[in-house]
Amino acid sequence: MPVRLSDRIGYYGAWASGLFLTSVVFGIVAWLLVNGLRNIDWAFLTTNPAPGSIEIGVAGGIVAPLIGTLIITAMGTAIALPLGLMTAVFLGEHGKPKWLKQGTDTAIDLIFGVPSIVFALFGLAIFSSPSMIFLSSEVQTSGMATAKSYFCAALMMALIALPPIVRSTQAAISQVPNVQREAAYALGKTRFATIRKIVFPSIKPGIATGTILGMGRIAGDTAIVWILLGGAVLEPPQPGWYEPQNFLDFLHGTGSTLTTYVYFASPAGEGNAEGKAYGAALVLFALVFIVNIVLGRLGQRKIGRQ
Amino acid sequence: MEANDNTPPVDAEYEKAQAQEWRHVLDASSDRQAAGIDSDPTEAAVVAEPVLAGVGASAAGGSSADLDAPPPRRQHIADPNDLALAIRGLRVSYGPAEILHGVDIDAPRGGVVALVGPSGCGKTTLLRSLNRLTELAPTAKIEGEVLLDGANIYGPKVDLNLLRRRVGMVFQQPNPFPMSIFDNVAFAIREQAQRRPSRGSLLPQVEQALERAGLWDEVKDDLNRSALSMSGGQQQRLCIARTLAADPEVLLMDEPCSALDPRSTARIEELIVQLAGSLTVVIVTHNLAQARRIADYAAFLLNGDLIEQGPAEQIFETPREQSTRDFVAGIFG
Amino acid sequence: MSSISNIPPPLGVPRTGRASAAKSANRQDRIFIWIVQGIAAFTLIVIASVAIFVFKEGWPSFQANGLSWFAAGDVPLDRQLGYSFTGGPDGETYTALNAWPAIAGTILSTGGALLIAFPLSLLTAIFLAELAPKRVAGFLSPIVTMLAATPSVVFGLFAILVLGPWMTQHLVSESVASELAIVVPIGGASVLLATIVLAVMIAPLMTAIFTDALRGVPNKWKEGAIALGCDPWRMSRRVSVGAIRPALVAGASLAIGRAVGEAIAVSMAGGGIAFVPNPMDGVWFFFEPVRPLAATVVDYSEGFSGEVLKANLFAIGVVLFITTAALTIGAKIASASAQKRLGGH
Repeated sequence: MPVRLSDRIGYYGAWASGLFLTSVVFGIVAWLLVNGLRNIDWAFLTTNPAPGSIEIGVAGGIVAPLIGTLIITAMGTAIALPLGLMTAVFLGEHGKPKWLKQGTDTAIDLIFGVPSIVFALFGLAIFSSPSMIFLSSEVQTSGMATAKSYFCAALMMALIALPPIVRSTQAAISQVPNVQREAAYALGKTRFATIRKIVFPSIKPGIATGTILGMGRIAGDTAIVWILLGGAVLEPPQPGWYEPQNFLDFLHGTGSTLTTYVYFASPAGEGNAEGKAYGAALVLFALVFIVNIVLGRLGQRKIGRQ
Repeated sequence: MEANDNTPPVDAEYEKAQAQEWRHVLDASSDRQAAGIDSDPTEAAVVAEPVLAGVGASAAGGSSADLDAPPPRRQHIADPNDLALAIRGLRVSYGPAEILHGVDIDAPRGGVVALVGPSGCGKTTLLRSLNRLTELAPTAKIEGEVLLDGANIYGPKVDLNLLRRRVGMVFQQPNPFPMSIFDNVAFAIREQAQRRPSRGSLLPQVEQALERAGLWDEVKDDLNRSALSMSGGQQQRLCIARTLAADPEVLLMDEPCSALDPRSTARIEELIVQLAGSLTVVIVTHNLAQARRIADYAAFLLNGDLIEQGPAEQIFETPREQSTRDFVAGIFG
Repeated sequence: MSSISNIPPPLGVPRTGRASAAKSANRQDRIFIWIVQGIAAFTLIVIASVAIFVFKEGWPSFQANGLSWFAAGDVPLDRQLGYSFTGGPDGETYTALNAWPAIAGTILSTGGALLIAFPLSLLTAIFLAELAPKRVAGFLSPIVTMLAATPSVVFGLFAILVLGPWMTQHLVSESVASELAIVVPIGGASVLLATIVLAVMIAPLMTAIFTDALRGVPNKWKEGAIALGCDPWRMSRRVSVGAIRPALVAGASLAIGRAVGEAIAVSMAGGGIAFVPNPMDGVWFFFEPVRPLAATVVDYSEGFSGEVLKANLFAIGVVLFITTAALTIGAKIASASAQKRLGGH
């Protein structure tokens, strides 16, 4: 217990801050739980949104946005993971030529620091060009592409998931002791084989952590979805969209995710379905929570077993 | 302490007698006058050679010079019975493991006490108990007493911060703060001040501390340099200066030279000998030669027990316990 | 050494399998390195393209307005943006844009959020890293990290459905609100609310970074301070916090970047009107609405089909890009030089 008065103020201040922040966290989670659970039931989770319905708060569910979130997260991660791994291998293992290493390092930092709305704008800029129509669909009057589709959104989502994957993998690579690499080289193994057989197995937890962080970032992002997926909360997807022959068309079309749904259903958007917004927000929060904490714990346990 | 000498002149006689006896041992391989020495001659001879050089030199110097002159060592100790620190029955355990099994050690004021023993014998734990750093470990349990000027530092109302200013510590690895040299040395002084003191008022004290540590000349031109830009030896002397700035009565040193090169080690050993007298030094060291060079008194610990303590010559040249003899002879380390 | 490999083997000595295996292994490695380098270069190309394309699309807006793009204009910003889509009052193409209200909104909300969140985060980090009992800290830290990863819509929802109405009910008196409503609607959705939301969003981020940094301060410094008779709280303040200065800079920059770029939550909480809150209005200053730059883009995102509006919105994107890029790079430089000063610790 400090003696001087200024120290005591600081000391109690630290305690107060800690407790305050904790109560804020618990407050938000509790509020979300209370208000969200009230609106969640099986129907909610499995039916499509039914906007414009007179019985606000009763009609419609979130299955389309929910699936939208899952699809976008899966697509974005699938694109980002191999790219991120290779970039991390470059930064962590090879690192030559120097200008490329510095440049890539800065690029990753920039991609992390620039807000997703800028990437959404970028996506809009490049995917609008007529040559990119294969990614979305054509605008009748101007011949340009709409730049609104699952593909477009997923590509930009991959971008924002990249830095967490790269940095986490890079950190794990640097932890691998050099002696293991040297032993492999002494046996005549190629760089590639060494990385594949020696380095890769021990960096798996690091990769997992990075991927989880990346997925969390994708699932929680609204700006890119809003601009590149269309935020078309009003239109449930065509029936049978999941059938193989229709799926590709589905991916070319617009959609919504939980994030845009919450935005839309809140007073800021057009809906006034508070209850729905709460429910969707809780589902979204729970998804991110599960992915972060549970999968993160699994990743850690793997480290322990190693 | 096994002090059969209370005044310096008797000391010289004692030392001279010792030197003569060892000369006999070396000269004649057969009998010699056993004046209180029971060790095997040949073994003792091995040990005695390097020591004899030192003792013989001092004794020889004593014989050619004034016999009544105090020996080079221990003239800085005014009264060997005046103990700066008295450790009584100290028992320390971390959780279920007991590290120290009740030790009693005396540290006369102004002297240099070396704690020696093989790795893991508990000497670092013992040292850290003297400024209550052991309590930082959550499972630590301490019993017994450590009397600083007669008052138990483990008493009920002891001000820990004040204790640690009176009993300073220098660590094995130099650990200057990531600040300027000036800020490092001024750290302790700023701590004690009620109001933030001005830089000008701090400067004299900083200078004095750096002088005492033998660092002033080297750094006086740029006190604002980062402490981390100095060499290892300089950093360690800075840590000593930093501790001295708080004007401690006792200086605890935990193998302060083990991370340094021989030249820096020699400088710091000089420093310790200089500082002795104005404060009491308790030093843990692995290096027996170092202990011989600088210690007035020594305590030999083994597996958490105090085997023997006494004047340095006794421990290193004429130890009474077999294990001490073995250790000093280098049979185990 | 390559000259040796050009010497043909002596007659009668077969080429060993190992030599050719080595050759193909080399080729395998070379291809691998090429691929890896290529992908790394790709990321470089991507971020460069982002800069180029966003700037290209936004250039017309800057060109038409010059430096007054950043200033305040006579026509309210919202109306300007509307005109840029529909055409001016006389039906002409309307290119004027004075984005100062949006810029001011960004500065106010971000600055306010940092003012609130930085000390709060630092104190909480000290609490978690040094003062709290180990089990409590171990329990709370992942929760703080969890909060940092929470989607921004959740915060926006909380603001617009809970905090905002509470503020309107309890803090804003009816009479004054209706008086000022002629000029501008006063209510819960305001610069204050936006600032609070941003603060809640960036605080966990900074707390996580600061806590990690504090935990990373070498024990030897902490021990050294305690051995000098420094009591633990002061030791935290003087030694630990001083030692983590690079992390403080990096964390703050990251937080500012996030706050500047946060479009959704602020769009929900800010009041949706591009208005510059007037400090002269006294306490009502806090309750005036605001729409920072990022939120503007989102709020007008229906209008990308209009050429002029599109250019205006992309121009805002340029400003956002440059600001956050500068912050990111600046933070990196600052922390690198601070690391050097600390002697590579």
